[in-house]
Amino acid sequence: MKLLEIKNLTLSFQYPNKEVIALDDFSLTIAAGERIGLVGESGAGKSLAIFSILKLLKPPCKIKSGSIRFCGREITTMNETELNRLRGDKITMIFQNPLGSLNPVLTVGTHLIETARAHSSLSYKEAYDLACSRLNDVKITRVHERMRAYPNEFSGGMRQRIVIACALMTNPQLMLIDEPTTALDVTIQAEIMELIYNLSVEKKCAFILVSHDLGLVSQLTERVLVLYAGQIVEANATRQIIRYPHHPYTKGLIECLPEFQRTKKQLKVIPGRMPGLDEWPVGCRFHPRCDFAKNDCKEKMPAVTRLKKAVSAPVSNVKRTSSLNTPVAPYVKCFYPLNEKKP
Amino acid sequence: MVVLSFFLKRSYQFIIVMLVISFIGFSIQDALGDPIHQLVGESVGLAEREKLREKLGLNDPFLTQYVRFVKNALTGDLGTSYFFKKPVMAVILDRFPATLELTLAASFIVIFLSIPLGIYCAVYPKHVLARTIMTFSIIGISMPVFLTGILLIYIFPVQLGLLYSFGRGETLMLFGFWETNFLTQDGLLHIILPAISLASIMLPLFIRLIRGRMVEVLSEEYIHFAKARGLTKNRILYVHAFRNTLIPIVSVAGVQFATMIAYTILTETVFQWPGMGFMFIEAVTHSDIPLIVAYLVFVGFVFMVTNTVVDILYLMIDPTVQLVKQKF
Amino acid sequence: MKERTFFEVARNDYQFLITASILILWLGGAFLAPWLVPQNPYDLTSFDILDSELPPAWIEGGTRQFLFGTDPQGRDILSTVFYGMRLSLIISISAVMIQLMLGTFLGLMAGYLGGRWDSFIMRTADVQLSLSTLMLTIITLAIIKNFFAQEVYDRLAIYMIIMVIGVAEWPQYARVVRSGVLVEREKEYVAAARVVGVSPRIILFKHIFPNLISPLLVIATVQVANAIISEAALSFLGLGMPPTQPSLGLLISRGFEYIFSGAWWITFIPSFFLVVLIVTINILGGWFEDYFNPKLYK
Repeated sequence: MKLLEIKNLTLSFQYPNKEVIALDDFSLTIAAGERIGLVGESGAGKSLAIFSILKLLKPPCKIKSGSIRFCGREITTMNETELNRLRGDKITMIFQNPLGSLNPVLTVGTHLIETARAHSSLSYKEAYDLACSRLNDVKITRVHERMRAYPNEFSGGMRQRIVIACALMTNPQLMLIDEPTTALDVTIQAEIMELIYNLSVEKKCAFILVSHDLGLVSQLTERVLVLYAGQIVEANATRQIIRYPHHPYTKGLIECLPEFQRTKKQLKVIPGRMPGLDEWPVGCRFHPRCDFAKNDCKEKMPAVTRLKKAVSAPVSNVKRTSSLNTPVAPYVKCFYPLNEKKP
Repeated sequence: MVVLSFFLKRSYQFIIVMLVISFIGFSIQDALGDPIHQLVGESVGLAEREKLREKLGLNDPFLTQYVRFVKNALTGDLGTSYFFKKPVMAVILDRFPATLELTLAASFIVIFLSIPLGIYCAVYPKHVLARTIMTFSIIGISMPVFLTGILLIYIFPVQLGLLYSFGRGETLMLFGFWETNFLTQDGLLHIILPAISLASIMLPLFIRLIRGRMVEVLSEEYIHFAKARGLTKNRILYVHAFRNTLIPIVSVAGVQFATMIAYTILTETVFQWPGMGFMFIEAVTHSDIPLIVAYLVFVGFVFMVTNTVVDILYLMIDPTVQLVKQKF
Repeated sequence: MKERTFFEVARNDYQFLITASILILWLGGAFLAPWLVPQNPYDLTSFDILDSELPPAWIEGGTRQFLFGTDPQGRDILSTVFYGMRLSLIISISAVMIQLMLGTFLGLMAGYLGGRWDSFIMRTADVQLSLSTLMLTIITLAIIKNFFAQEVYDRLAIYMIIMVIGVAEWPQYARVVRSGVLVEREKEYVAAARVVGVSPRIILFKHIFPNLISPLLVIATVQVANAIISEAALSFLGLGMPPTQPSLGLLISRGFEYIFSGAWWITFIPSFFLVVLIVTINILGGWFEDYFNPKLYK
């Protein structure tokens, strides 16, 4: 059963005199309970991708074309009331900056309780008890006292736990997680990530984790999509992608990770920077930074190449469709994929 | 703790400002008023005047006299009005309810109109109505308050024969000292035009202020997060955004309430409203120095009290200012 | 936006063009009044009491000679309005000059000297702002008025009003300048200048001050409008200009009692000119704010 199916989604910024594409022909399928990572540099469009799922894009960014289906229902054509029934209920979000996500003049309790009561007919008391148990879930103690406190009485890590508790108030089926630890201290990152992972296993909740950190994503997900300049350049099972990256960009990302560096020499970097939204080059968008670029890379956009050897699914019950439009099977968008001959 | 130290700091500032104001007031009285002349007139001889001066302590050094002035002021004695031949405080307190009621009525209008209109303009910035409101608010800011008053008088009492152009009308005495407009129909009808004209100066200001702040708040991350949690639009607007909008507005409102008292001088003059402001202008025409000085001290006092109260209120309603600093 | 110059932007904005042309018309009318209008309202021999309270030309009973009618003394309203507007503008622009100089000076001092000077100046600014400038100007002028005999005061009134409005509004400028200095002082170019050995005074005026010009311009524009309102209010209360040299506020005040007898033009024609003047200046101020978009240092 497909939980979420995004097909050929294109997002664009629509200005009065021009239109800039931000996300190009994006497709993704996620099964119930599956954990997916969306990796890319900032500006690649990965946050926009998950915000579009709940139609929370800020103008002038709009869905230009494509379809988003959740449990078989089309989201792109939903009105606000229908969307609100979904938002924060079956699909919840965790934002990047916990310091900004909570309203400074409302107590922690208010945040949790209003989320629950917006989506159920719980009484105040029942919602309160539920909120307390969720705070316990995210390892917050002295809950009654904390329910009455205001967000600014908490540290960043604690606030992110509260945001996670908010996201779990309604037994969601899918969590959209946007760089949950970028704004936090490195020391707290691991704790928060572990908490999110454990809760998703415990509550059987799928998630899409957006991050620029491939190392982090590789530890928590079963499948990874690599996004570059508004396009998915490679999608594969996490274990495969780490071991056998097919796209030069993925390879570059992996070589940048400290834990994957073979030698103890200088850290590797990908030369140059990602082009901005309105300066994407002709041909393969990665070619100016690519070590392997050949002449046709500069002229034509590479098509999606399905990888020859299908990889055994990490989540056993995921059914794969054979259609190229919904490439759940591993694929890469490159003329000259690396590691082609290896398994 | 924070409140206490803040309160101490404010009290300290309060006392200094009041001392400065009373010093200025006393210097004016010393330089301009000759109480002997006012007391006895022209007919009394020089020697007798000198005796009286000595008796009243008018030959004492300046500072001694100032200290005496402050001491008297603390007991509520700021001298005697030349014109009314009554203690100035009695004259002022007699007029105070009229001014306060006018200010309250105007504040009421401002609060009940600026909040919905300001929010509306922030939420639907491109709507025709919002644009109209914003255009009118520029004109409103540009209309001197006395002109609004004159225009209202011309339209309603003069042209249409509605409402009243001067005075308080029939009032009701409360507790033996407070004359109120709010409890009689005639009184209410009389207060409408002066209150609208006084409100006209603050209304556009507050609409713009609330709109600006609301626009700012609506782009905050927690509003986006609230949307992502599927809360209803009304809950987001009125619970999440509005509270954050209101808190900084409160501190502005304090200063503006004081400013409104200043504008009562103008509205009361236009509508011959028997309040402190009208009295002050009368005092100026009669060169009633003790009354002018008393008005200065009294208004300074009211301003300082309002500001202090508002600042403390602000501390109490803003949860981001922590009374006890503690991080979980 | 930034690459286009002020005039390039202005040329394409028809709202701006309309506002600006009205303002230029008004300013031109005011400053060229002595050469434009038919009468000199300060010259008692130029008008006749027999012409009093004539309505404007487009109403029955009005004559071509007096386009906007006449006042109770028989003065041509068109002439008094233009002369009055000239006075209002002279007063408000001079007052804003004083505000600008005083506020900038005190703000620079506070920001640059720091420490006790800073806290003293800024505390005073806080208190003065909380006391409402209108109240301050009214009370101060009321007291000054009592210091002088009526004839002497009438002669000095214009200078007094300029001084009082000029002094009353300095804190706003001082706040902006001070925080501007504090922000700019930390920036690299100031540090660089200091390292090279440029004297503090030169750093202050050559390096920091230019950055403050656009926020100051925005405030000053709006303050001209406010000063016109203040002057009108003071004159309306009888604390401003003498009846022999009426400003717009006094013209409105003197016409007030005639609205009850139906002679609305005596008060509303000066009012119209006053409001249009203030509205255009305010719109222009808002426009400056949008264009320069100064980070109004808070």
